[in-house]
Amino acid sequence: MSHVDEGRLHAYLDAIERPAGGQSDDREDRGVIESHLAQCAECRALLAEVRQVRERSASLLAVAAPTPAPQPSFADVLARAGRTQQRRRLTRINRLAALGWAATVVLAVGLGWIARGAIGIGPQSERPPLELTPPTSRSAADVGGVTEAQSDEARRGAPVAAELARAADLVQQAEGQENLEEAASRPPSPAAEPGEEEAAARLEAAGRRQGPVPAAPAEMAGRIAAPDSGPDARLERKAPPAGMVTVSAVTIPGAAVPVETEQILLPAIEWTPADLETAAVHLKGPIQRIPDLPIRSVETGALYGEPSVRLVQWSGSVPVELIQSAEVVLARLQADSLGAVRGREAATQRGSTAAVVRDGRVVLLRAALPLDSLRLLARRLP
Amino acid sequence: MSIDWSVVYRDTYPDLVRYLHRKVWDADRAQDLAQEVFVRALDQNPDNPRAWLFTVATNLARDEARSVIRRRRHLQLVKVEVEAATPDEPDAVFERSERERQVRRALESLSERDREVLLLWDAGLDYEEIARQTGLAVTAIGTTLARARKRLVDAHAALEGRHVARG
Repeated sequence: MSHVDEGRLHAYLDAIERPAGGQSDDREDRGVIESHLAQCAECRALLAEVRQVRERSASLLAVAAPTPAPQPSFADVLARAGRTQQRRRLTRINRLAALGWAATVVLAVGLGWIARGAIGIGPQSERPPLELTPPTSRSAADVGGVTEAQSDEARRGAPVAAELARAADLVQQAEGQENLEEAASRPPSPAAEPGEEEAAARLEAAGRRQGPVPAAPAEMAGRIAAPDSGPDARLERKAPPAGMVTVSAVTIPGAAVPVETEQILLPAIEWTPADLETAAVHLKGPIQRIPDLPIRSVETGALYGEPSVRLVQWSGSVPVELIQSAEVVLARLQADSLGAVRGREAATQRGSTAAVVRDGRVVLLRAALPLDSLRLLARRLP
Repeated sequence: MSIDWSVVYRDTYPDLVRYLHRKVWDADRAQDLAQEVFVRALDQNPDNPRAWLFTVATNLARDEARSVIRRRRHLQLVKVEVEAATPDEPDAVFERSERERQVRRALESLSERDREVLLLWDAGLDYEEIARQTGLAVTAIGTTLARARKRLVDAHAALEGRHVARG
């Protein structure tokens, strides 16, 4: 008579522990096996081995079991379902409102421009384009290479461009807001780690939304919105900086409003305005900045007693914070953030945080941008 | 006849959390995903609620695994630093987390299918439910479990042997 193989012996023991739906088949098979075991010492020895493997496997899995915790009530599930629906409704309302507002602005400006053309008013305007908000007292070299001549040309160019850019920003912010909210209410997407091409296409699309139509301002805004655009408007592919990590907070069960996006909470810090040179001396090292993005502000301070610098650059119309400090600060921030967020009733921050750790330093990038966009910016750090 | 999800929740939630924990290796996240599964279930009426729940849980865990790859590396980075900074952590706690890490590494040495079948069995599903979930024949589940269990035990033994040799 043929012996019983290991798979059947496992199934035999499993069926005793947990009968499946086909009870009559189980009983029949069990009878056959037991009849054989009664006559076959070899199979009995194998059965003993199989028992040991089953027990050992179960005990190993028990080691990796979650720590027992009280089961949340079903009311919590219902409350969470209600919040999810409410968030989706608010997102749709916000998006419609923003689109409506943007459409109104575009229409009004367009009609005004046509009217001006019809009655012969010149294109002079003193308002600078939105993207070129200059820092207070820095040379052009400090603001990502935007020269005064280019600024003048942009100002003389088209005020319509500024209005269109503002309307486009409203739409983008509404869409960005919606994307963040929708992403939070959706399950994690299978495409959470887009390929380089897809990420480049997304940033390129963002750049196109931000760039106004007329030639001179378009060149300026396009350069700022997608500074790595070459002739084929694709981002240069680079390996991520060494030690690139993403700092995140988990969704908090039972919180009134779950944490919607990845974030880190900074303690209250007193920042002092400074210039790049002073900041470098304070940090005892070079200041990390994203090439070709205008600088909005530079400040010095201290995080957990470590000298720190807060640099803010513009990515289009979105400010991107680069908080730079000693690497040891990161672990402390993460631990404190998780502890603080667990205790909070509502999440108030939106946006993403990415951290680059290298050579004993950490650079925390924070912005109201999807995490993928922020990662792309982080990869551009030299 | 519509499903009373509160009853299903009471009976199945712990198994779901147990299953998800071995997928995402984060107790809080496992609980959160388990809740999310039930949120999605509320307006569904599947023929087999339990199997449906585990299918959704598997999909959520898979999506989660893809999106937290960097997060996991970060958590490891921070954990190392935190442990270094707190040398007076109780030995028992450290030992338990070390044992769990070894089991996790042993589990990761299994093929995805073998690991899935093993975790579903451990989560309390029977052969028919596992077969429906995985697309395998019912008659193949026993063989798959035999292989998965043996591989887990052998892999863990190998890790323990290396650990002892290093220590």
